Amino acid sequence: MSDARANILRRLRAAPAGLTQPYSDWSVLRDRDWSIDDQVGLFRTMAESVNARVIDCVAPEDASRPLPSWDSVLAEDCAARGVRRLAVSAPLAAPLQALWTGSPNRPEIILTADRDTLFSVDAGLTTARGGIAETGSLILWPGPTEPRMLSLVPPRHIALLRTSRLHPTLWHAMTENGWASQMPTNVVLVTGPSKTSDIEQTLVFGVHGPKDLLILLINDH
Amino acid sequence: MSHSSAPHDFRAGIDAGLHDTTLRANFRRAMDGLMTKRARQFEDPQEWTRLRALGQEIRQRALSKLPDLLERLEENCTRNGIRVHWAEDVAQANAIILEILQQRGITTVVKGKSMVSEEMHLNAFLGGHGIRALEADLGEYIIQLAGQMPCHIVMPAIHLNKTQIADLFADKLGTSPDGQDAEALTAIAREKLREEFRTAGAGISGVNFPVAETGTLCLIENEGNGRMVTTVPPVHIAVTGIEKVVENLEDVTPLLRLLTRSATGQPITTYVNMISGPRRGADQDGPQEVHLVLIDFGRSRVYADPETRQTLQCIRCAACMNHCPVYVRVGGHAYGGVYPGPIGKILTPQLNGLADYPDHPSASSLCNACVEVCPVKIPIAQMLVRLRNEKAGQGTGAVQDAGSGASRVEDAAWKAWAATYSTPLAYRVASAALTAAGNALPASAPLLKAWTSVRKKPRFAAQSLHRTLKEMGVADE
Amino acid sequence: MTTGPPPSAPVFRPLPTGPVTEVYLFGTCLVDLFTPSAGVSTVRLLQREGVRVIFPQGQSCCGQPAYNSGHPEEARTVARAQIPLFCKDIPIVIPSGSCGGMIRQHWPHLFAGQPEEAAARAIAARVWELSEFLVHVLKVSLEDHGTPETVTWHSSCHAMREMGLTDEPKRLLGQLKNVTVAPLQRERECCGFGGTFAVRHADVSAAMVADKCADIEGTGAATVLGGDCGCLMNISGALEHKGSAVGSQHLADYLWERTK
Repeated sequence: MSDARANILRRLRAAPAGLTQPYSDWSVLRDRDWSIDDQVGLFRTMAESVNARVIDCVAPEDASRPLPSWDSVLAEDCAARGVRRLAVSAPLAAPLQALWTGSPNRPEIILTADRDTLFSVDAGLTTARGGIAETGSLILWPGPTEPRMLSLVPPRHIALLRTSRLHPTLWHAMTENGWASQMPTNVVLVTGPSKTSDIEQTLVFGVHGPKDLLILLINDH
Repeated sequence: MSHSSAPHDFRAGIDAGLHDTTLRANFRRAMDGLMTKRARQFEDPQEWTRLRALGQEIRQRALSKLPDLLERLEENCTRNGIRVHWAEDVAQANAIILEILQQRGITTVVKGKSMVSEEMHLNAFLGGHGIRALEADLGEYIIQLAGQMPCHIVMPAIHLNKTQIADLFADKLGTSPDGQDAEALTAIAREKLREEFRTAGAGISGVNFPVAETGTLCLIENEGNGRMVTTVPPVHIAVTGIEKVVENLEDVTPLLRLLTRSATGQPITTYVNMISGPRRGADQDGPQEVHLVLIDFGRSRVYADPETRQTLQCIRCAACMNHCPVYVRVGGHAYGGVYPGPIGKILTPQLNGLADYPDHPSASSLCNACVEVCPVKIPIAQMLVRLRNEKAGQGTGAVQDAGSGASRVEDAAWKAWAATYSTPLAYRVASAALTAAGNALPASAPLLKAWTSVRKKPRFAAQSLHRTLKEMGVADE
Repeated sequence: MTTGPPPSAPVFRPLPTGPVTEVYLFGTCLVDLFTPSAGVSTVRLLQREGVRVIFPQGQSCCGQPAYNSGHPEEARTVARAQIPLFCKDIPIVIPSGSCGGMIRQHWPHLFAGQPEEAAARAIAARVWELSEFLVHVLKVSLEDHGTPETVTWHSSCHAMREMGLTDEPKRLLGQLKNVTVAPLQRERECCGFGGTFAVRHADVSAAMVADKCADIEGTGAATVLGGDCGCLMNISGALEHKGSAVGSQHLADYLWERTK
């Protein structure tokens, strides 16, 4: 095995220099002069174009805008879609429990990383570290408080995204936040529910990942 | 690499493809769709020009320091807890994977889409050792059931229509063949595979962009199978060609944009999965082990020549085949090997030798449709010409089996042609003879025969342009 | 239906400085032996604009047939013989995008590291495809004397993708007031000629040209026009073979005949 390594590297090092270009113009990715409102609008358009559902809301304590609190939107949506067992991200479990205590017809809040349980719940609720306006993508950053499977194996995925966390492009999100020096085990960009067009190029939503993606867009910018 | 079998019979494949009307209709419909979707993504020619220049530069820069980047990738992956393996050939790579699986007593693996694993014939190899390897990408799942090879590197089952797929599922899975649309067929596959994801011992995937700077493996996909196989089973094994590494994390961003828009006309895929190690610290899930197998399989030879090295810039978007007038008519299976279409025509003979793939370089009209859409500006037509030179023994000998197509008859014919066309007097005599008597050549003459099967014989003019212009008094200076 | 990408950003080509009074004609080997009328019409179109045309009688071929067939040595031999014939610093006009592309794009590559490299590059920079030259350099305006007619236009792959032509031929046809251009469904798709490809892979080539003919006939045009004799030989041969009523003609001939 170490022979293979040495042999491959030796062959590559023996090759003459080839074409290269020392400098690149990144402005095609860099130059975006979008206001935050532009970004919110674009995010919604792009996310909805791939069948994500985007609902505007606010944090429960925020009374500055005439928008519903995210927990009430969540409760309504779960009721409308028959979500009875909702797996949630750890940081959201306690607040949600507190908000929902005493209210009737709320789904069961399940805090777990157990594989078989996650395969059996109706929906998974996660946070999003940020969003990408240009493509309508969520930036998920699973880790100690949020299992990777939470956004993947339940048939529905619901994500909380703050408008203040939108970035124009992936390049901006990555470079402005110094991802390269702090990559966790897993970062996932999610753009819409799972889909395929492998059969006759017919677009079908819901293959192996969630069939439904609901983005609770918390207006805090 | 030895020649274990007879050369690939491209002509038989072409013949089969051309005469299968269902197949041709399936391909035409699919390629039209893909071309239209791609075109909508690149409506701004300025943006396209600048973005692909950036893509080309990033790929060329990475290749220019490939050995250093591979070492850096290994170092950073290792630091992240990813175990890195190196394989020069298929046998080594398969042995590495088999050992990992056998040591852990794993008998079922689920797979994400990986063209490298097709190069390895991995499923058959594992099957021979009692390990079940199940394709999880819908298209790959379909063709695995059908016992076929992918016909397209992005859309592996695009040669089949839904009726054919419904019949296949009925035959292999016992579902009803009637009234199944794409949605119903997709639901069948979802149901069948869900339990497999939950219980498989390992997941195997390819990699779109391995990042040296951070030791990160980037995988893109739409279905979620790629995330499933890299997240749920306790072991994840990634396989990738050594040429794919990029230097910095930010390099992924333009390549990602170019790849998804070129491949399927999407601004981005549903999932972009960046894996930087097995679960660690307080992580709640994710595989306990991640392995990366770096494979050569002839790539270092392609790398050795600065011109052919450009082949390795490829990011596997398949735009070249989607736009290819030959591919759309003969289908992906005609090409043999793993990579069809224009990229396959230049890559396959370089990886496997011109002797085994003698007809690949010539099966192009050099129309340049592929060159026009390549997001990293691989000069595919120039590469085809280079391979023709190598085959005829007029290259540098850098390509495996160079000179294997040399023909004394052809060489003599071109020498005679060159002697005539480079000597004004000889050319004048020849053109006078052809204009006077060329039309007497029978339509069944050797080269004319192929031409006249569907065309009238070309007619020589009664008098050449040279003579006509001389008579008109046009200056000869 | 959109079957191709939008054209890339137009290639910037510096125009000749000052008025052009003299050009070379590179006639190409196919025009020379099969369609000399296209060469003659090219001369007349240029002369009418007050341009003196020089046709070096020693010329033959750009070398493309051998170059594309894995025989660069022989291609070089033939191309090398052309170089001294075009040494004056004046434009070289070619009634073919394919031969033009060979010289403009491939001669620098063919002669890389050879004694003729600089001379080959200088010639490559002076090459103009006919329609490109008429539109951008001479800026011709054409007066149509013909009767109303519908034609269709076949774009040559090398004119589009090696010479960077976008819509120059159609701009010329657009000046003919009695001519309607009915577009092909798949205008950007190759006709299947490809030089020796048509013989080496005759079956694929035949399938390609059959589809092209069907597309042409579907437009209802009386004539298909093209700017490359290779494509035209392929297309017209196939149209005739199937007994089609659609005729074919080189753009130069068509423009001259309608405007003389």
